[in-house]
Amino acid sequence: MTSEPIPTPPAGDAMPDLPADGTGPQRLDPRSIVTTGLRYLRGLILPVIVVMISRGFSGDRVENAFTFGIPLAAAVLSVIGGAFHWAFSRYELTERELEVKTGFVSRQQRVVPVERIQAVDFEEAPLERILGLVRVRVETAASGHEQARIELNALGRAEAEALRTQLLTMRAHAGQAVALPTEDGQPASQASPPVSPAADEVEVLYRLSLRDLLLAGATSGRVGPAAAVLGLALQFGTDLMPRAWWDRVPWDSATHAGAQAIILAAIVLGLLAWLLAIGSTVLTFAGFELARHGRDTTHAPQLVIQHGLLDRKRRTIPLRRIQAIVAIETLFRQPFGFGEVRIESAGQAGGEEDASGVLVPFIRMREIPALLAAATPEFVVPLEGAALERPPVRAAQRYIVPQVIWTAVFCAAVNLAAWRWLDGAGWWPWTLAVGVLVPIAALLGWMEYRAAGWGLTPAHLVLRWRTVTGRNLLVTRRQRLQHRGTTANVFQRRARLATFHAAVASGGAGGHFALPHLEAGDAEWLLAELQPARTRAALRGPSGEG
Amino acid sequence: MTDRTPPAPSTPVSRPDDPRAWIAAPDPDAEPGEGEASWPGLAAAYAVWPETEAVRARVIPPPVKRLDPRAKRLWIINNLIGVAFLVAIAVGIVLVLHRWRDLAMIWTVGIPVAVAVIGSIVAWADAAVRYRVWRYEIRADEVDLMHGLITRRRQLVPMARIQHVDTRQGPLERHYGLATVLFYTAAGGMEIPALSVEHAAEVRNQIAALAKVHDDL
Repeated sequence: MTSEPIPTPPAGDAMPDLPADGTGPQRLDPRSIVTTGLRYLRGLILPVIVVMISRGFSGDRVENAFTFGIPLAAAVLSVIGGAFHWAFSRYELTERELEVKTGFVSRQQRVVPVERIQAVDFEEAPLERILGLVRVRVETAASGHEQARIELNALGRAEAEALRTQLLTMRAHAGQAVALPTEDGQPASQASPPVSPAADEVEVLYRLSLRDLLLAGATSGRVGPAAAVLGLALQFGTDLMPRAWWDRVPWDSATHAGAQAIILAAIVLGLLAWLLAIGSTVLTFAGFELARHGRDTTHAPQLVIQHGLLDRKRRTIPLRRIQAIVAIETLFRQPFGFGEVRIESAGQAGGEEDASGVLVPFIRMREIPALLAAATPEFVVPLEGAALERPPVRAAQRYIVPQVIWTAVFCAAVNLAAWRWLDGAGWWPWTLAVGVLVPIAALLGWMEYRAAGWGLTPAHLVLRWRTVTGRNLLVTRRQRLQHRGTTANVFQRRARLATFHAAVASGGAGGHFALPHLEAGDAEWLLAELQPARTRAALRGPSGEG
Repeated sequence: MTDRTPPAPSTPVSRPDDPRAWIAAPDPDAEPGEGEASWPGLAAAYAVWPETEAVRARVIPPPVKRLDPRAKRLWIINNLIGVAFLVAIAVGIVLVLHRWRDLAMIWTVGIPVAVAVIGSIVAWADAAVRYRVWRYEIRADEVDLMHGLITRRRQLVPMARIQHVDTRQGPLERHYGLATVLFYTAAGGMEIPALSVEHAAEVRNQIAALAKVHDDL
């Protein structure tokens, strides 16, 4: 455990004066009718477009009126829906609980004890920002599950800030009554420090410059999804493109000009996908800012992450809930020495979007230790990458051979198909070119073997591994491990190898990590060394180690 | 299932902390004459770590407790229900082919019978192997699970991480007087299948008592 002194809250600090006067059930801001309606409408856009396109524009005036009536009806319905949502939503702050009621068809009532509140986050879409509204999201340990999420659809900014302050103050004071257990599982002898965001100390740790933002987009893995989106758009695009242009292109792969046209089209598509990837990265991460609140130990320290050009996101992560840090160097970024840092934290609403686990989306790898020292000092490891223990040499073939076999089978299947069924198209001798994938697979396997490693310090477990997309370095604290294990299949057992598994708490899908093909003895040793008792002994001092 | 009296273990029972012993180790709780048979080659196949004293001193001895012997019967019935579905599907397909595609009579009868026979053998073998390789142990600070024939899986769950414990009993399990113990950490759930009802309750209470002090995540 860290030896950070936990100060006792100032004595004689009574419960703060709650505005008990007139705090009955509160309504949301009436302007939320517009924003909620707009969000309903956004959900309806795709079906409306599909219906409109499928109806087509026949030229008949009555028919066309119907076609245009569809979006109008959708808009009206959305506004009515927004109005209903506003009319039937209430929230109430009682002495120890936040109570939220929503819905008119199926009524929902949620009660959150304030001690269970992990964080109060704000989100604002462009229109909400113009109207001065924020969506308030109350995070609890369970809010990784969709149904357990609590969201107040749009309050005025001042009102939201007041609610946040109040909730956090109440939680802090509730914490005095309930002694929260510490990381070791022992109940804390002292209460958790009070949180009063008003008196917060804020230190900005990282900002993304425009240059870094563009570089991040250019090297992001979003090219693939962007290409998929473009491909889908092309399905419609070919209809929009003037027929005459399309027909002039000689789309015949057999001819020289046709091959050129296809290659050119592929290059243009790739370039467009790349630009789209840059654009979407800029949209998501423009104005990225990572700040640490509560630098002095009188406040429960937390990280606050803000980003987004249009849809501005703000996430709050209490430091004590961070379970693990993962530094990721993707294939595109590794040559330039860049990477990103993600976190696993318990009870954060995760999985919903790509950005939810991001601590820093783009950073020079050599800046990471300094960043972690400032942001999450508990996860700074006195270990050089070279100091990691490695799988034995005989494990290398286990990394390489299966990949090569699968790739070879794939190549053989492609060639067989081309030779047997597409013979007429004249593709066959050319499809032999996919054979280059086999040495590439072998190289990737070798790189995966080279990257695999683990390290153990009295307080930390470090795992490093590579996937097809990039190299990952995981740092977690030993006491943050939930369960651990080994697996060994028949081949591994014959080679006396085993895969080591570790799991940390996580709101998202992540949280489970595996390091394949370690020396079996090493894996078993890790299992033993990570026993709670040995971890406690290791933390007490080096004397516990033999 | 007829339970023959197994031959005496061919290997002498070694010290309980000998990793090689776990597959052949007799379970103190098992009914006499159940599941003590040695399985030539299997014990060696499961010994994966180097046998030096220094290493053995540092590894956690493998779990030794076995499931209730009735688990085998439960799983056989469970598997046979699955096989019955497969046979029904096979019969349907074969009848269609026979009626409209002139499938020969020998295949029409033979395929479902083959599915039934092979399925039953697999059902029995799967249950037997699964029962034979399942091991668990509940220690003061951890739950230790080990199972799987082709991929051997070992899981260690610190008591301090267990959020809550359940027992579950399906209709078949109730018939055999068995129950499953499930326990959950913040990273997912695990189970010890097919313990006798009394023992399951005992295990559940034991875990619940030992897990009382835990993190508030």
